[in-house]
Amino acid sequence: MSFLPAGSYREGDSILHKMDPFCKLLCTLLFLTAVILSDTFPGYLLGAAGLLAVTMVSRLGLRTALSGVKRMWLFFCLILLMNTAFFETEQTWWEWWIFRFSADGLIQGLQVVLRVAMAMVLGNLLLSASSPLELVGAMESLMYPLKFVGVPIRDVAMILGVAIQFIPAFSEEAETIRKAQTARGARFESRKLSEKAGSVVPLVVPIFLAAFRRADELAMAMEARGYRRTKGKIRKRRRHLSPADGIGLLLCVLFCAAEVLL
Amino acid sequence: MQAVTGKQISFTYEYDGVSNPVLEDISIEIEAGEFIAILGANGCGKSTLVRLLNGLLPLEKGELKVWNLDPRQESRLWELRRLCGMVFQNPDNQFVSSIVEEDVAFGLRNYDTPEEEIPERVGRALSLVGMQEYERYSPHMLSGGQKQRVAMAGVLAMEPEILIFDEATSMLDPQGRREVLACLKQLHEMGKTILMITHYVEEVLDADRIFLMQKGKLLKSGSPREILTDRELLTQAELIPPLAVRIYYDLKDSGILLDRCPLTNEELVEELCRLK
Repeated sequence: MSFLPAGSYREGDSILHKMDPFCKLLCTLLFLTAVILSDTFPGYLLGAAGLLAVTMVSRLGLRTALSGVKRMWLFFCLILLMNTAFFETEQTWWEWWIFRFSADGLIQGLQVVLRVAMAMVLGNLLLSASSPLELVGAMESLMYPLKFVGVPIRDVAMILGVAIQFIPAFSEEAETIRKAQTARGARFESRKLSEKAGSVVPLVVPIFLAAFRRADELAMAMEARGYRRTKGKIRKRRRHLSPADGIGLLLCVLFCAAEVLL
Repeated sequence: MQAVTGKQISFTYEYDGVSNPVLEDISIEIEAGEFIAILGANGCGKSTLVRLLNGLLPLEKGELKVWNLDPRQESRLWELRRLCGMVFQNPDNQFVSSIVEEDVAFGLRNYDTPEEEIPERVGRALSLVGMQEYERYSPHMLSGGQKQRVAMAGVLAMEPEILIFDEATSMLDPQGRREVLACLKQLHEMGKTILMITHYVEEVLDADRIFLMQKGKLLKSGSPREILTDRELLTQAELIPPLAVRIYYDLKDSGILLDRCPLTNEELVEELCRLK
């Protein structure tokens, strides 16, 4: 037995788990748009409060909601550094060669980091409280209008669903490969950026190869179980919207409007 | 009733303009309800042969009928795949959903099974493999043997007549292997036609017949006793005989002759006890 990696579905009977998947996906997209559009600190505070409320409603716990965010610290540091050093502004702290360190840049960087972190938490909550095939169905419904312009929505939804499901499997596989490469002398713990960048290669190549092999085997297993691009359904029949779904959607719209206005 | 009839089946893989013949003139007949083990070293064409049976690979040369259906007949290919279920080697690469019950229902939904029937059929399939308590689990939380049993349930839910196990035990630990083999035996007792691909000789002792393959050819078909006690034949197929058979021949080479060649360890003990 192993622990569930970030982004895996976790069983539960919270309001978020029981919510119609289509509504859940729509709310997530609305929330995400509001977080991206918001550019004031009161707006971010409201966003964080909203996320905290959703986490409490989901009964998944803060640890699940924040899983994966901690691992991104290097990426967040890079965003902060790039923004602080390159942001175009009149008032700079210190200038040297092509670098223009400024407070505005630091604030801009912090805003980007906050947005990315909040989007990750939102994604974690959606994935942890929705079964993968329910999500595939919700994506298929959401993309339905695209069918009329020739987009193969069934295929696209299935690809997205399988890709989402394979994220935890890949993180496990990456960890296994990392350990195998470490045993053969690869150095991933180096503090030097150049060495760190170079050490990614022995990790990325086997991960890609494994991904292709996995995709090939999964496609064959799916075909053997009667998957066709044109027939059959890939998820449970959609439930009728409950009053709770309607209330959830309304609250989300109101929250997003407040977030954008702030 | 004949479950499978194949005459002079050949198959060639083309890669970069180079032809690589994998199967040559294979003729097989399998009765409904039989337990057939396809035994052979890696690369001998075992997987290719069974992939032709349910149309995962196109039949190029020869005649093939599976449950009276021709895999060449495109319009009935999906019916064929329902009748001829297949469990693959790596359980992790067969899951479409990260919830056991959703994954087991995947095949049923592909065949437009009425939604109200699905929970019952999923429950029945999971019970058959002894996994009914795990229906809300994520496959990631299960052991190798349990994962493979869930994969088996996914196939069983479609109520196939023929079950193909393509090296389904090769990635499992001894406990997982025992679990899967016990399920397989139980399914055979229920009357399902079983085709099991393996290169482990110890796994095929319960089979009705063995198809021994070597380099794309059917070397011999016969009962486990006929095939597995023939040291020369197994050596020719690049396989190692079961432990009891090896000991029998080692004793024989040292001048100690047992009454008959034992197939299992129990038979070997019996024979050794008879020695004076």
